[in-house]
Amino acid sequence: MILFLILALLSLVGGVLTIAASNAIHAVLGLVGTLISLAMLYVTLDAHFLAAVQVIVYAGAVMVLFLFVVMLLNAARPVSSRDPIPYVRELAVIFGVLLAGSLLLVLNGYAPPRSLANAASDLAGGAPGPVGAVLLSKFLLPFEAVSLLLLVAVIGSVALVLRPQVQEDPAPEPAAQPGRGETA
Amino acid sequence: MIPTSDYLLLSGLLFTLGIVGVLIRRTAVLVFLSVELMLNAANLAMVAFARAWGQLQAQSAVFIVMTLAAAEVAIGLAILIAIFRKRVSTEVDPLSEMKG
Amino acid sequence: MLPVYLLPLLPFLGFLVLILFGRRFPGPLAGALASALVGLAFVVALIDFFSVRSVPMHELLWSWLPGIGGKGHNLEIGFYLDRLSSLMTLVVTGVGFLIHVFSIGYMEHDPRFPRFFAFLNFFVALMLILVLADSYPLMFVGWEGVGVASYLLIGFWFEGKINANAARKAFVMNRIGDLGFLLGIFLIFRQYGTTVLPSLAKMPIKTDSALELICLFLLVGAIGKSAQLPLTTWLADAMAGPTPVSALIHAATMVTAGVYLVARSHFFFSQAPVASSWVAWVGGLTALYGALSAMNQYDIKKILAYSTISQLGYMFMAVGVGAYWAGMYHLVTHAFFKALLFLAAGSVIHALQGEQDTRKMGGLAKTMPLTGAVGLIAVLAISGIPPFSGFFSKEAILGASFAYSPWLWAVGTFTALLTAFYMLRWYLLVFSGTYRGQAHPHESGPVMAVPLVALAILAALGGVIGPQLLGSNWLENYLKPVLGLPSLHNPATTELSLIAIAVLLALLGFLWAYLRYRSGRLTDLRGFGPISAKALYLDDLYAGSVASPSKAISGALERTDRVFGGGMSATGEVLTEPGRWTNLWQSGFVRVYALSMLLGTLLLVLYLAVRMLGGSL
Repeated sequence: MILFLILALLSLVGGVLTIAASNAIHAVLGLVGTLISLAMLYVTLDAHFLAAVQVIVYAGAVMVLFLFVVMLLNAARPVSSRDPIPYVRELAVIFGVLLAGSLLLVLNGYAPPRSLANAASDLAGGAPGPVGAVLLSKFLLPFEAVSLLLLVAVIGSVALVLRPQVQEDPAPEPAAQPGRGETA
Repeated sequence: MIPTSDYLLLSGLLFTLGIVGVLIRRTAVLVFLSVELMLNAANLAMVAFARAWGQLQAQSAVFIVMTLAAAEVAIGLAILIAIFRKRVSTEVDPLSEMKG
Repeated sequence: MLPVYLLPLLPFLGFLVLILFGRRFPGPLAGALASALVGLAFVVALIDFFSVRSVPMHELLWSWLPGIGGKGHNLEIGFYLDRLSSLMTLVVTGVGFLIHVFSIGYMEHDPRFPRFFAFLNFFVALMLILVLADSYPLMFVGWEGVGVASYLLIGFWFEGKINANAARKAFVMNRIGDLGFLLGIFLIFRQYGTTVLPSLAKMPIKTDSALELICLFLLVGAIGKSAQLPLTTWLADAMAGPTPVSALIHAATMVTAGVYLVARSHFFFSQAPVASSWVAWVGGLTALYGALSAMNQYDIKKILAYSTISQLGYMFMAVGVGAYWAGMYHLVTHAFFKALLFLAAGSVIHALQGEQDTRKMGGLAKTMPLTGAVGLIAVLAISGIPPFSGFFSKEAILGASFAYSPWLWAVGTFTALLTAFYMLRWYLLVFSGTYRGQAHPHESGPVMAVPLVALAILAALGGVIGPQLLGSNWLENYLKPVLGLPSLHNPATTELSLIAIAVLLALLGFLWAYLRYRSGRLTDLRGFGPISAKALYLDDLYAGSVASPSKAISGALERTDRVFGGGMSATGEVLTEPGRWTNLWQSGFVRVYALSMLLGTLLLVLYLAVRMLGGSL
């Protein structure tokens, strides 16, 4: 129980850091913290394989990608331009509090369908073997579809980021508008 | 054992944090980051449900969601870079040409 | 004896050719073609004139509206040539031919030269249809047709707003008269079952109130076309058209259509004493009105326009008192001398490059001797100086009106005095004294001189067709089989003294004008001058009594319209306003859209929460 509370607290602190840190690097690191806490929570939930994947794929690969992009785009600095829609911030906080409250209300009343001990034993600890068996039998079609999707994503991201080698149009790219590029 | 509802409450809080982050963040990268937070909150709920029901399907689904998230991040960040090349900015508010 | 339909057909062919292929005719060729066709029509009219003496010709061409008035009552297109219409065709084609020839010179520099002649030919064709129509509906066709021609030709130089407005004014005021004519035709058909002139002429017509009403309706039509009181004001404005148009349409032919209509309908009017006296007094008052208005005008054509109104008044007097032949007589002589006056004025205007203000003329008799001479002949003719043509026709009218009513005679005779005054004033202002303008006047070429001379001869000697010196005469006898009426005659001594008085008064008028304007002095008439210059304020009266209320009503309606329109717009605004609010939501900001997503999620979860609370409570 104490472990859960510590992990929950850690993940929440990471989440707050993610959405509130003025430095983008800090935000990314906060999310990494959250993800690792979640991975540990997965362990407490008998999902060992997922915990490993979470650490490797999410906290590792994906977040490194994020860090890379943040640095590449020089997006670490806080935004200083005037907010054109200031009301969104207030509304977001109000709605968020309301949403959190209602979610707590709704989720707190969740009644488990069966005893947790029995159920947990059926999971076989969420080991790679049983999970993989389910993936390759019941979820075969989604599994293959996702693999295809990954391929498309790879090709697509390369195509999107690729600079044209031969510029057919000698006209230069539109000049950065002053006052906008400097704040980025 | 820790009751499922506790996990669900944590998941709800993280989800709320994520959605508020989407709204208050003004840099596209960080908006993306908040979306990842929401995804993970949902994943947490799914894993909690897997234990509650004793079913591995949910865990498999979480695996697929993670893969999807990875693909989405790859494409999303590529789009961000493409936009950055055009506009030299990753703010979302100037991207408002699609007015009604 | 040639078919009558040739008469309108020839100029109509000219119209078609010139309006369709006018640009193919280089130089004055279009004018030559138009003049030749009208000349041919004149030849036809002349041949028919001599052959129609005994029996009228009645040609039925085709059935226009079969069975319109019940079985066997067809409305037919037919031409009726009797002595009256034959005389009229001679005037229309003869004077028309001379004016066509004159126009070749007058309009030579105009960029729309062929179109001008197309319109002139159109006018002649429709005027001949009017004259030759064997029924009132066909006559109405010609009546409207000449109205259209008049409209087109007044506004021929339509670039000027004044010209276009003058054309519209003529058209609108003619419409008022045309309504009367139409009502008259309807009533004729209802009363007598036919509108064919020869058939009506043979019917026994009884004097009754319906007949009086018919005649009054026809009078309204005639008043509109002939610019009599109270529909008189358009004619002065119609001078905006080219001068040959003024000569042909607004002096010699079209405006006399009203007189012709009354003479043509003599079988009605001779049985309608009340309507006839209206005709006579409308004519008398218009004669006086025209003369008074002409006294202090300075526009060379406006003077002649008011003089035309005045002379038309004489003709109405004549046909009103029953002396139809005298009305036709004056119509013919007036066509000669008024056409001559207008052409002389046109010659002057042409020589002065468009100048129409008599204050910038004077002394032109030296530089334009021929024009001056023919102008003087015309002035003498219109003023009733023997032996010029106007003298005889005017004496015939005055004699007949004296026999009808001495008061009417007094009005006519006083008008004769004024006529002599303003016509000599016109002549002195234009032709005597010293030249006051800047242009270099010169005599016009032979194309314009020949018609002037021809008309001058006619104006001087045209009176020979019916000098009413004691007893009957050729014209009266010629028209008697058609008009068939005993005319009013005075005893010989009365007749002679009337003539003496009239001539004396005309000379007095000359003397008065000579004393005032002999050396080109430009002095306004004191007291009465401004009233005359504004044509007795008739235009202002109409502007005040008709135009202003109309404007006020339309202004009020427009304001009402605006209120309703504003109401409609406001309804629309109110209805679109909520749409604009939702439009705010579609701001284009991604975060606002995300906010909507959050709101949706929140509502969904709130619903679940509320349900849960409800379930637990």
